[in-house]
Amino acid sequence: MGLLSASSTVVRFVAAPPAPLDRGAVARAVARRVFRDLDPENAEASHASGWVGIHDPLATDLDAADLFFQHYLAVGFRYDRRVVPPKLLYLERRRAEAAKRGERENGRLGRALRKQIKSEVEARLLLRTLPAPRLFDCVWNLETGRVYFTGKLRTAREAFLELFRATFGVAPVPLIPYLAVEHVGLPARVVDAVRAVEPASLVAVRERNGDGVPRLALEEVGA
Amino acid sequence: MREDFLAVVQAKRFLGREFLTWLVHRIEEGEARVAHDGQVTELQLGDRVVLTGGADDKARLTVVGAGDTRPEIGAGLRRGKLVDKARLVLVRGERRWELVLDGGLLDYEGVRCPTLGERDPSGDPRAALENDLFLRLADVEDALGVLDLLFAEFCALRASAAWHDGELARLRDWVQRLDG
Repeated sequence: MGLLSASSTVVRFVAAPPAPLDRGAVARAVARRVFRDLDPENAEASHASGWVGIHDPLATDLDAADLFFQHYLAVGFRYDRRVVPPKLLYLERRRAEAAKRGERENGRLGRALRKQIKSEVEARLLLRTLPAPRLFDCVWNLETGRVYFTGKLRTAREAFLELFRATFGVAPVPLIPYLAVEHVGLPARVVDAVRAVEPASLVAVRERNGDGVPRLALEEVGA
Repeated sequence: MREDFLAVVQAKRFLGREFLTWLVHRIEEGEARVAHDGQVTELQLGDRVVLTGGADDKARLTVVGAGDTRPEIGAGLRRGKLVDKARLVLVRGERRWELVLDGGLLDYEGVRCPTLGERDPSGDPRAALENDLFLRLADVEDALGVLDLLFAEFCALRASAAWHDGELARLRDWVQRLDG
């Protein structure tokens, strides 16, 4: 869900904006990597991704005016993926295996042949499967270097990171706790110290020694 | 990303979970008012908390409900788990944000910002989008800025002697008292 939705996901990254910023060059780089539909004849391509307008996911003719909003670069990211429903794959694979058994004298299929059948069936079904589109927003604060991305889906996020790096020439760094420590205004010595800490137990010592089970005093007597 | 980098990331996820647990503790103790840009924001705990253990304890404990969830949260913490996700409410005057903070990754899900302010009256779609985008981004950066302040405070505390000299004991005492 996008930033203007009633509810959205926000994943943060940090990426140093190019300096000096040539807005025309950035817009051309985006235009070279706009979203293009999956080739319906190519079973090898299971997914497609690219930039779209933040104002309209069908807009792929983008120029600087569509991308720059004062100190923000805002652009949509579309990720389409074709996936064969697992149950359909299972049923069609069984049908294909049964047909193949019927062609053989001993009616048996080896492991390699079954694997080949599965691969062929999946490729055939993939061509008939419509891609499921996912839409995300990407906003880059060109003053702070913060990048906001509105999705957590792992495959889409990896495609987004690769596209961002290829388009803008900088790899966004995820603001996960270990890395975020150095982006919240702390001195370097504190950053190093925090990164070196070991997990703390919040369970009191007496509780950690026991498991809540009453014990006879035999250990104490023997000690 | 490189394998060794991913291993470090995975190994240090506890840092964000400790932060979120500490934050829930502050909220529960009524100490979650943050002064930011001359305004005070109060944090409240929402109706969903997920606790998770370390590498040898994969079981997750989800506590959902608007009632008193302290005993369930306490039971999870006493089993060595930490708060992994929590729905938080940020309130500043009449303005209200809701979000689910994923402590392990510092991601934000279900972010609900205050209603967008004054809309652009020009009728120009581009101007309207720009106006709405600015308002929404300001709200998102505002809320996340408050949480960044708290994260920085936690990190400074975690790296200091005060952590072992008092804060850790206070947290353990709180965990003990979370039994209803």
